Amino acid sequence: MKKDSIFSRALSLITYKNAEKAKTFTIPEVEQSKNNAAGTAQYDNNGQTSKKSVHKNTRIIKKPIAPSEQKNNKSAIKADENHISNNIASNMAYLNNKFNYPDNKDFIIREFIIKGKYKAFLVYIDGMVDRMTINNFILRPLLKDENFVNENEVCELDYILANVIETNQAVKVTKPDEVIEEILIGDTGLYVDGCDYYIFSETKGYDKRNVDKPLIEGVVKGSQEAFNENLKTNTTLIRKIIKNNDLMTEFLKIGEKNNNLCAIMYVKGIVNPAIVEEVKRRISSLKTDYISGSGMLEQFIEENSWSIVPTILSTERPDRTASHILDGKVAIIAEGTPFALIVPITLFSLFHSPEDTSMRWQYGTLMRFIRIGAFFFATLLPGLYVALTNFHREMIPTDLLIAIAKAQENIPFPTILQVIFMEFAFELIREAGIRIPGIIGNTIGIIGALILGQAAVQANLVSPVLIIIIAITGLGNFAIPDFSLAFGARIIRLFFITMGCFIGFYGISLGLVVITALIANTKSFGVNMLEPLAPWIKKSQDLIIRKPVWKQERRPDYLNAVDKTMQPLISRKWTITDAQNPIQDKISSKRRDKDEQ
Amino acid sequence: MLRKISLFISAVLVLNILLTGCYDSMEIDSEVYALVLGIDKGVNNKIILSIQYSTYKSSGGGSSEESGKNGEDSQSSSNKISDTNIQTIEAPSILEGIDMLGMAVSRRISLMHTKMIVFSEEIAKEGVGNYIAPIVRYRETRKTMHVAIVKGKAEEFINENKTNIGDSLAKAIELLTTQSKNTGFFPEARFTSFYRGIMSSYESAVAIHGGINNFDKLPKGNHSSTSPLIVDTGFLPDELPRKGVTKREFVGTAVFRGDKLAGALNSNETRYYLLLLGKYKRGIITIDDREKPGNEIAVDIRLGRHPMIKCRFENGNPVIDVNLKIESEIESINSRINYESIDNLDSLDSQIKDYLQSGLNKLIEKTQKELKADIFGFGHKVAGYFPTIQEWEQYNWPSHYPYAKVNLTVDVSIRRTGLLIYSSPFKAWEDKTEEKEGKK
Repeated sequence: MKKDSIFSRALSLITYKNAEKAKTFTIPEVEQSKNNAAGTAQYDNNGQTSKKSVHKNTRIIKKPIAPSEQKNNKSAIKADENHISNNIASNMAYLNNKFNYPDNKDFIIREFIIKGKYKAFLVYIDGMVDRMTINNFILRPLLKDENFVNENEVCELDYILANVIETNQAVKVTKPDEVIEEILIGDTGLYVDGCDYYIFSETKGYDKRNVDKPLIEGVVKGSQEAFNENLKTNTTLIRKIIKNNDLMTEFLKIGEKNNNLCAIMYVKGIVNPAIVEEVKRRISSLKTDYISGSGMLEQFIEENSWSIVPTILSTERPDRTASHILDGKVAIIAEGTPFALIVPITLFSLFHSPEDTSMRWQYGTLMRFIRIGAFFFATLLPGLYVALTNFHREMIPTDLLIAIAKAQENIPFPTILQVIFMEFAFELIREAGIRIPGIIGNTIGIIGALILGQAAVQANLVSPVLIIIIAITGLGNFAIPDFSLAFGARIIRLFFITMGCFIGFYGISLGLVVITALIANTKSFGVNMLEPLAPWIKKSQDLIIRKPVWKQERRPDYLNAVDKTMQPLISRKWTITDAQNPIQDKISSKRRDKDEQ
Repeated sequence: MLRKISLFISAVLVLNILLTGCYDSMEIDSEVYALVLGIDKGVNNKIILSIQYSTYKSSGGGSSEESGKNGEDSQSSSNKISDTNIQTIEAPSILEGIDMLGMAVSRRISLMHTKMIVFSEEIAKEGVGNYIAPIVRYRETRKTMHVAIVKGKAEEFINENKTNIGDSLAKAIELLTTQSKNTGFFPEARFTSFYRGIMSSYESAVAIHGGINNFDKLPKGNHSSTSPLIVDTGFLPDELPRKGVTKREFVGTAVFRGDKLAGALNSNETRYYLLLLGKYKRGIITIDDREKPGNEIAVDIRLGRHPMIKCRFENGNPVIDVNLKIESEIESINSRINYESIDNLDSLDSQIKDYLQSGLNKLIEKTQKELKADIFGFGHKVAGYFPTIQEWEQYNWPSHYPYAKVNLTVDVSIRRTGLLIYSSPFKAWEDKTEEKEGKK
């Protein structure tokens, strides 16, 4: 009986079972319409996520609450997690408690008295705020009695908000947890005795890096701006490119203990609302203590952690982010890292570079072919070399074969050991190049080139042919535009070396099938990585062969964008001239017909 | 527990696949690659097998760093003529001979890269059928190798097969056989087509005809007052009047009837043969100027289109119509007659045409009467008249070919005149002296 059960259980390990139904996400089709109402409706219908927006990007000064209502709340409430007290002492005690006041030296409460009778305090975190703003535009107006012309027995804060405070952004905050968040992000809170809310003024003044040149994704032609670590700067950089009132910036909190912020940016009316919902659902469901930035966030929200290729595009370029946003994708920017995450993507978008579009299409297309060639070199070349030399010597041209044999003659190691040695050495150069202090960084190139290349050959450790193979592989790897994909290529390369070493071309073709199947099975926010090839959908004008920009009329089909077209069939209206020229007129009328069709 | 066991089992399975895959893995330098096979008649056993392979001594190419390190050594070593070894053994068969050589050669001998197989004429006359069987069936051998029949012994031919221009023997052999395309003096005979020729009833097999030139054909005596112009000179191996570095040479075609050597075409006949076959790429022919005999005209000829071969039966006899369209470019006119002009062009056309037509007719007659071998593959066209293969085989084309009527028409048109468009006499000297002589 037991034997039978073990047998059946063992059998169940290798036999087919219906897969358990996992929660999958696909992008639904959206009816295209002129107004954005349809999109919003879909958004609402689909929306079932917890609305946990920390604060809105636009701060509207709220209408003051009527004095009569205020008076009704006069009875003292104790400050706790849910309520803001109308008693100054209670509120101060609550905040001091929350921020462990006497021990935490960064936490500042500045007490003062307005007009000699109203007790008030300012609360902020030292270093996060701009001292000048607080001194000149909050504290000074408050302490000048002439500012209080209109005598009122109401809670002073509404009046102060409307008349006294001279900062550009000031909001009323009525919830204790929001109060704490506002303090933490570097705003300054003002409380006046008798009110049950705070006024927070935008006073962020911590140190940040300037907008710098891109370090990883450099281009020859095109914008030379890169993100930095400051979230607000990053969203501004994008808004600077997309000057559109439909460009949405939503903030979500990530990391329970470090209270990091991330921004979700998209263009309402273009993006499929389901993607936004899904992004918000994934991010707001995260329960973790610490998320340092986009790198960690990417790992938390990606669909398949086992995928070799990245399913989320990470870029440090605002222009690249902006073009993706306008394609109908969603950008996620986390505070603390100079990268934007873009979802959903396909494998092909990892081969694109912002330079492709800023250059003329012939040049851009050529560069893409080179990059795809580079990817094949980076993944397959050493594996093919090992397979060829160990199993398929008849495939090598005779002269090359004899040249390889001559080079190999005095080397005591088999090819596979040399390949592993050189691969390891190459990775060492790479890793050491990152870690080495900048001043002596130049030497690493000399060491790498001379010691490992020249000397290894002279010492008969490595065949010179192999040095070339590894060098081309390394160059190919660096030519891959996406950093994560380049990492993936290195892992795939090791896999192919193994397969080539053990079973030759047969192994490599098996490996190709496996890798392709794995990639085809991977999804990025509901989009198959191999789209538009598998599944076969409407061809893009900007896949590998980049057509001229005026021909790129449609947004990527897989995004199911609300607005599917980027430009009309005739985007260059100047090609249609006026009726003066009969030939031109004929052509233009023909084109117009086509356009109407 | 079950999970561990199943993991173990699957790991064993994966390792099984991976590790058994390694069984035929072999490093490049653990083999030597026989580039040329030579087969002679044995004395005590069936064959004497010679192989030639490249050695891996580092001179040039391979590791330049090595030679840079000790420059003097490499200089002396690069003076060697050839980096190849030749091994000869008497054996019952080719493949066993290869294995027997393993007793002396320190590495496994591989036939993966064999470029050429050389038979002695002696063996070819007896029939090569007995010797090529392993090459057809054996996995390693390339079916694209060249087949050459050499005068004398294959072993001696291989001994003279040295590289004098570069170090690479493989390159030397590849380029030597490609010379067929440049000159047309010997055919390109790959093993597949050779084997097909031996086996089929449609055509006869041909091979490259080679030999060793002992440099004794170059006339040594004093020349007479005038050197006569002799055109249409064909040579057989060992007949080229030359002197030089390499003794081995490929001259003309070895023609087979079945698997037995029937005869040979000399170098010029080979050109005609390639023309009719449609494989003639280009080559310069020299004809005697009809208007001014003793002056040569050199023209570069090529096929304007593939030869048109049609076949029909007349009174039960096959008649084959062949039409050749030949284009030519004038390379030199020694008589300085203005053949380029429209009026004279036809004259030159017909001179070339007559020259080619007579040569081609002679060749066809030779194959019919003397060799009795259809090397042109006319049989492929004739076979179209037979509904079944059995009937065709019963018809026995080889026995009928000598009696087939071949009608040959050649069209020649001169397309280009080289860099000159007008041939004029050497005016300054020739004309004036002639004039003066006339006045006198």
